[in-house]
Amino acid sequence: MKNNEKVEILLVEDNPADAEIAIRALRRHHLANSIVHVMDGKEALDFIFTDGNTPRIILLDLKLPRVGGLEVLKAIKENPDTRRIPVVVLTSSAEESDLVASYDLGANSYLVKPVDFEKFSEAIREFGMYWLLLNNQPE
Amino acid sequence: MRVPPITIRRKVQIAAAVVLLITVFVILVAAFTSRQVLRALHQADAAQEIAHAVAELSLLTDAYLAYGEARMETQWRSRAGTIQSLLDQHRSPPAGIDLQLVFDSLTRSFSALEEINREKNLPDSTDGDTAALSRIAERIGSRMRMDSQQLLSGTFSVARAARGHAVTIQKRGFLVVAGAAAILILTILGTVTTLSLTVTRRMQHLLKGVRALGDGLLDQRIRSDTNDEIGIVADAFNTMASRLEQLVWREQKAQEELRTLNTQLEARVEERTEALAAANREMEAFTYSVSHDLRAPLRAVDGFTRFLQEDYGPHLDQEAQRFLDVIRGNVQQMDKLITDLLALSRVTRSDLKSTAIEMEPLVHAIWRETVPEETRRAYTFTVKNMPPAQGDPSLLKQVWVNLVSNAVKYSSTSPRKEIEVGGVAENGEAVYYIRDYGVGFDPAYGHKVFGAFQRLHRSDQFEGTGIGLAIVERIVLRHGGRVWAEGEEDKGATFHFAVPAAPGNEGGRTGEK
Repeated sequence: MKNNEKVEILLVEDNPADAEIAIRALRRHHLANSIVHVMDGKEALDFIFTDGNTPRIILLDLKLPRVGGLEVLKAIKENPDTRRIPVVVLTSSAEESDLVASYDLGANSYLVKPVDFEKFSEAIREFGMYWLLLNNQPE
Repeated sequence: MRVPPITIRRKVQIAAAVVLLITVFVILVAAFTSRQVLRALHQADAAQEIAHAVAELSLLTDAYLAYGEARMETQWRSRAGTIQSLLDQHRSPPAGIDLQLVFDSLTRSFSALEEINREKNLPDSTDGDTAALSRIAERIGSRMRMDSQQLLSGTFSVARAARGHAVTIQKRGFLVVAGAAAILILTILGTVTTLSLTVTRRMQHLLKGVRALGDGLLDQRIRSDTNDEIGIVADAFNTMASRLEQLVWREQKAQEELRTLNTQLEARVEERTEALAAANREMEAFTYSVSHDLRAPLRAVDGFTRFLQEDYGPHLDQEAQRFLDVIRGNVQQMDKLITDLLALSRVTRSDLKSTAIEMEPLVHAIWRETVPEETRRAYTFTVKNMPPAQGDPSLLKQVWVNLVSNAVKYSSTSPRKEIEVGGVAENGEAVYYIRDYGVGFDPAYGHKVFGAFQRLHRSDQFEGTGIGLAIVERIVLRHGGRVWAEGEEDKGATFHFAVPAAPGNEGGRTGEK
């Protein structure tokens, strides 16, 4: 699945409802021009390493089937070609161990998905502004 | 080798008795010998005296023969008497000749001479008679000289014999005494040597055993084959050693048992700790999935309700819109419940730190930071003197956050908006209170205020999940403290809690600032 167009956002999320909510929130803030949504860690790794895509940002859920979110994060941050891609960890819990493990592996941001859609939408807007519009990554 | 049961003391006593006997024997022999010698010498002296007397007698005889004077007869008789008494006193052993016999012959001869002398002096005697008598006297005189000579040589030989006898006796006595002394010395030497040899050897044996025991060789025993003192000591030593061995053995066994028990106990503690850790892990996994899995559907409900409102809002009437709002309101409520539940479980699981905490600035900060400004303006907030506590800063902060928000919440509808906070240190405890003049509670339900999800007011009156005070109670209990509440309906409530006071503040400051 090689896109001619540069992929802006890779969303790794197994829950279809959560994925739809996230995509809607992104779209609301006009950040959804080029979103690729994969359902588990294996697909995410294939997309990045097998197909050779380098999205500008990765939204990564931690609780994933097959290959877990932390493993995906580790693979991305250990590879010199991909370790500069900002990874925002998405999760339902603010459990300390997850947070510490994510930052240890090099996560750039950590977003606890709030239940309230309005809050979620606001959070998506803030991080989108920062990572996509303000934070210029070296090409 | 079984030695008969003679004690060393008895042996020494026997040896001493033998020595004493031999000594007495020696003394007796010496006394006897000296007596014998004295007697022999006495005899020799007597013989010599007799010899002197005989020599004098012989001179007297010669003089009498020459002059025939009557007074000489008396002198002679007196001398002869002396000799006779000496002879009577010293019945000497026969030394070749019988002195008495010779002396008797001498005496008889002298009597014959006296007779002749008397005849010669008779007036009727003639010259012829006188000459004949003189010739007879001459013959008798020569015989007397012979007898005297014999007597003299006899007494000399008696004296010699007596002296020889004395020497013999002396020699014999010396031999006997020397022999006895030799036996005495041998006996003493033998006794001392045997005793010292056996005693020393066995004492060394004993000493070796005692030293070995001292060095911890408790199975050490001393061969004890005699019934004497050393044997008794050895027996006593052996008894002591076996007692000691038994004691040490018992002690070792007890220690071993103790070690076994300790090991078992440690194993059990480890087991329980492991079980506890497993339970904690399970608990953590549970809270994780609660927060993750329960929130995901809620998020979906809220999100899709919102989408419905956004996308189809214009097509829905007002009642349908209200339904959607109710749905979203309940979703928020459930989200809060989950959050509070997680907070409660975190209080139980988190590690407890322990530092001294100044309560006054903490409470002031909480008032400023957690209560909105307009609310603060409406309230009178009084902080009285508060002693410092010893505990976990973030957990105790949570206690005050919950208590303050509780006080604000339940007095928000009341006319008297006053909150008072204070404390006192007593018996190593810091006891704090927070008082409000809000709706209070019915004292009959006072025991329920700290229960999780227990609420004493309807939720349409006051929002809340009923977790806040449960968290307060858990935190205080984790500090080993106490928590209690007093209240009266529509008059207000006072919550108290006691936690360990910071060291050095025993019986600390009280009273108003």
